Amino acid sequence: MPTDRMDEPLLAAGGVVPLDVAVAGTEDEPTSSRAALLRQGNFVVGVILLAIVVIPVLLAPVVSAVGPDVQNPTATFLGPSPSHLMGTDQYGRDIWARVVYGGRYTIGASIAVVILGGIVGTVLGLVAGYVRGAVGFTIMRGVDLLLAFPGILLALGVTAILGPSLVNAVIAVAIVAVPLYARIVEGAAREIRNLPYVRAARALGAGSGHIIFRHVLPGALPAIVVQTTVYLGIAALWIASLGFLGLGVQPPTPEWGQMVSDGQASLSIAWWVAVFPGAFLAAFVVGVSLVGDALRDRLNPTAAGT
Amino acid sequence: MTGPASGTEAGATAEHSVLDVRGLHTHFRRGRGVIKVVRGVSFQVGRSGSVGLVGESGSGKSITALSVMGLIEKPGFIAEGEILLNGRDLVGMSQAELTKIRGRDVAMVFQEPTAALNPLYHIGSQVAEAIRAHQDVTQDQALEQAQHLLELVGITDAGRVLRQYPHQLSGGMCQRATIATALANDPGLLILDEPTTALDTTIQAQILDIITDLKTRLETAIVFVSHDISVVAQICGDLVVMYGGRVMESGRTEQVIDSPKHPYTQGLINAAMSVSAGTGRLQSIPGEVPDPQRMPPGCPFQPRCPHAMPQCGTDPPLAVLPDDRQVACWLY
Repeated sequence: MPTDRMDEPLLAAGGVVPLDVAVAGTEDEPTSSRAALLRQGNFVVGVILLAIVVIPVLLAPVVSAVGPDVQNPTATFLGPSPSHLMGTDQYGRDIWARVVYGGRYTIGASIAVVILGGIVGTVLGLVAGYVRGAVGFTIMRGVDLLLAFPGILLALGVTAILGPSLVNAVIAVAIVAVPLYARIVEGAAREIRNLPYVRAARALGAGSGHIIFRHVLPGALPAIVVQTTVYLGIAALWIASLGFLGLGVQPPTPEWGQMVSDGQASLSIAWWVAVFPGAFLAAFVVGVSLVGDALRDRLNPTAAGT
Repeated sequence: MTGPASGTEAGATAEHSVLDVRGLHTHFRRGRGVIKVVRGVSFQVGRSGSVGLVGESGSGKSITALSVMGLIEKPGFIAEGEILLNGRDLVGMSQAELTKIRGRDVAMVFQEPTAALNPLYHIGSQVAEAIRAHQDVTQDQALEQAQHLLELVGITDAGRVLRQYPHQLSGGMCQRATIATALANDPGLLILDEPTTALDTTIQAQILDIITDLKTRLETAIVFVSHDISVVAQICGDLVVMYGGRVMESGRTEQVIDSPKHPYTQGLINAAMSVSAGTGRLQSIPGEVPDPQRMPPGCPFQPRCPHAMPQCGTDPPLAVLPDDRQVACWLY
């Protein structure tokens, strides 16, 4: 007797997706996912932190009356006050202005990192997971080789070779991101390529390129999105670390990591110079991580360590 | 009871057949060894003919179907034999050539209708995808064709179904949609691998009606793979009974059903009859399908066969009976 499967309940459910219809390898998005996300406390906290940090950065010219590089020799090392919300540094530059303008570099660079590393890693992962064989083996062993290096060492090495600049810092951190993306996408691609609908597409005469872009990539997208939100915070931290070490943005351009480094010398007399950019950086990283975790739990309920 | 007769396929010669499988061996590498899943299968499908591949799970029937599609992937490979589709041998063809043939000359419908559709796209988009794989038409033209195809497989509100996702449709509707995608380029041969096994009995009957209807209207040749001999008998003009990767018996459906010659065919039919009779004990064939890694020498059915005799340890020849039937058994 053939087993009956889901005709009745699906018809009855109409347009609503029952949770148990989720097809292996493709996360079925329940319609209530937005509400469920909001119920998660850490998601809400993450969004609030991000809003506090990102909105002023986006509106930097609006929220700051002075530019980040305007010096004022008569107003050095002023403490936080209504006229200088976060005080001033040794050149009398407004810290609030430098923090909100500097966020453009730190956040912009980390977004550039996940885009660059994400695209390269995704392409490598898709090819390795779909083609497998010698090509896939070679790609994945190269990825393993990159993973074997401690990330910060790799990034330091690359910037040391390329020279200190924001672009090179982005390239260095992106190189660290590539194997992380490649691994995740390769796993997803390997799984999706064996799903019945991919085989059905092949049986209908679809070529490999078509299958990769129409079936495998969209199926791997949830994993890529989660990886991006998780890595965005790490990328910001690393860009700032390279800035702190003088390997990223060069002065006088403000960047959070480099600002923390600047303020470090005067920490005993003017704590605000280092603490405020550091606090913004910390808030951004924590906010991104919380949102990323919530998204991962949502999009991939089977993920371990939640 | 049986499907409409469609020419004498048993006598179809190579020139007249859409598909001519000759001595197919499909093996899978495992470790250092090789698992021989299909071991010398031959059968023909005539123009607008219909052949049923029947056998228990593990008999090699699905692998035979996938071999015809060129969809055997590593570690599997076709070790030997010819697969002539419209006279051209598919064995050894490049993937690029196979891609051109798949969907256009031969198409396949799979067992799990909901899983065979991508959950991320509308039905219309997926049928249109199949059309555009082989035809140079715009998306709008393809969608229009898709609607006609859905109507062809008995979907009355095709316009609405076009814009629905697979999860919004029942298994029966999804199977109709996958049949529509398979028919998108009017292939000369349609392979159906257990197309109704995952469906309710009532839906199963509807799908079988649609297939029978399409077979006569479109004159598409059909290979119907199933473990259920009673289902296959409703659809197909010819039967090929497989066991242990070999053909046990083949011939016209009526002949095979009315007077099965091979002990395995007899067992299958007795089991099916005892189910439909609904009274008394269910008949089963004692024993299990042999593991392809530990296939007995000679006839693979010998360990379960009530008529087993000493010479069954060597391969039985394929006897051609006076009524053109072929039986691989020492009894004949």
